[in-house]
Amino acid sequence: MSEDGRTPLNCTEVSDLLSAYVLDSLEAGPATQVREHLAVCPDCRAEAAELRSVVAVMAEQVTPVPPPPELRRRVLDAVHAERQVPAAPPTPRSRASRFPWLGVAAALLLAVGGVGWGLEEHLAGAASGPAAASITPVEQLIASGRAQVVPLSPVPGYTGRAALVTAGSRGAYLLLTGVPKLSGERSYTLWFMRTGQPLSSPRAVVEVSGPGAYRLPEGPSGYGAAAVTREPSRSDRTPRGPVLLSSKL
Amino acid sequence: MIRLRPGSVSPKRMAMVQAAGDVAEDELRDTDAQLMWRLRSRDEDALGELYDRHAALAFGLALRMVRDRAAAEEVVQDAFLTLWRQAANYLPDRASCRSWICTIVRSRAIDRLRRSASKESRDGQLAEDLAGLCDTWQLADESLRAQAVHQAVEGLPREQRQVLELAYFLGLSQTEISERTGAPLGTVKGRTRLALQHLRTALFSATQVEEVEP
Ligand SMILES: [Zn+2]
Repeated sequence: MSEDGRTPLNCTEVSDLLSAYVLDSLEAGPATQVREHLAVCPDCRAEAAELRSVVAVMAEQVTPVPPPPELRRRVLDAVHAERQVPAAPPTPRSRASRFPWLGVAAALLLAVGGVGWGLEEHLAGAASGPAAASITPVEQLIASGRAQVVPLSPVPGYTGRAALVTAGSRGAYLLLTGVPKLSGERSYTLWFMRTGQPLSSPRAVVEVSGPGAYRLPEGPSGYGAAAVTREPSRSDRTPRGPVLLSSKL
Repeated sequence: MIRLRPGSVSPKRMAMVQAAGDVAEDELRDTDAQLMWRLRSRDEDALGELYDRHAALAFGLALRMVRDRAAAEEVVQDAFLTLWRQAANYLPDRASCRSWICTIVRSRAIDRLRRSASKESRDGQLAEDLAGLCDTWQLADESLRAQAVHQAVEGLPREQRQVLELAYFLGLSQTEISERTGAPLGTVKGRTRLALQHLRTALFSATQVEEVEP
């Protein structure tokens, strides 16, 4: 029983109410019951996140209307007046957000759950190299605990994230998220390097243009470090662009 | 942090490389995610840039909800102030800045539509909405996404679409929708659920098609 004496809802009952809940359209009583269930049920939480993203895109139906020009000044003045007020502290993060893509994976899994992809066939069918840009099966692999995940650390201020995922005979993958899609010849290039001072023989492993999961032609074993750079042109055998993410292996 | 020091590159070449890298940096400096990062360090210019990009959508949404220009302006102002305050909680991997702004605008507009609700409970709801938002379609191109959403909503059965729009744009509760449409409460709940499910399926297939393109 919950605090106010109601019987806790089960997953089926919550699933019936979840759409109204994420639309903020559910009455206070049932909304509290749903909230209590979400606090203890990761499956329903993932479902709620997925539905919230559907709700969020509803705004795309709206015709943009330019606000009156003086509103910009008013907004910035209001913010300026707040400058002395410190930023809200970050909300406590769940364990999963150390690897934020695990949360994304959970949501994506629900989205594709009904499609009936088998992980094995999908990975077997994944082409080598940049063509394979489907995040889900790789994230599924991570979630299954059968893969080794090495996160690459971003340079200070960089908001993109990357990780190397190796899963024995199932291959090795680069997972890249939160990076803008590049146009033209530019690419995100993953390099493997031998250890030593300085690191030597950088080897371009894969060149990609945006976020995704990419099968690698070889795994990182035998190398001492990995880095992702943003390269001004493709098929360059020498790193030219800035290092965005890196890790010792 | 590891620096690449390929032995084969001369210092002069390295300087050129550095310059090339800086150009690329300039071109990419202002993605929404990077602007949000700057907001965390209290950069007011970054807020100005985000405003320039998203204020028209924010104002359009606010106007459609509160249906009064002066009220919509207040909603937008309040929303960008909230964005400023909440920036530290933003995780670019989970949601686009655009979705965040729309979620905040809608919450602030509902504040006005439901004056009876306490500000504290609404703030709590917004924090939960933002923290729980996981934006599956953030990779989709914006204009394609708008088109896909439009088609998906148009494609809903009329009564599902009505329920969804009353809940989303007018902030009506399930009971209020039942009263307004004359449909039993259970039916309203069922339609709400089907509406979001259909929308999700339509959006998912739309983004799948898009990912196949080179
Ligand atoms: Zn559950």
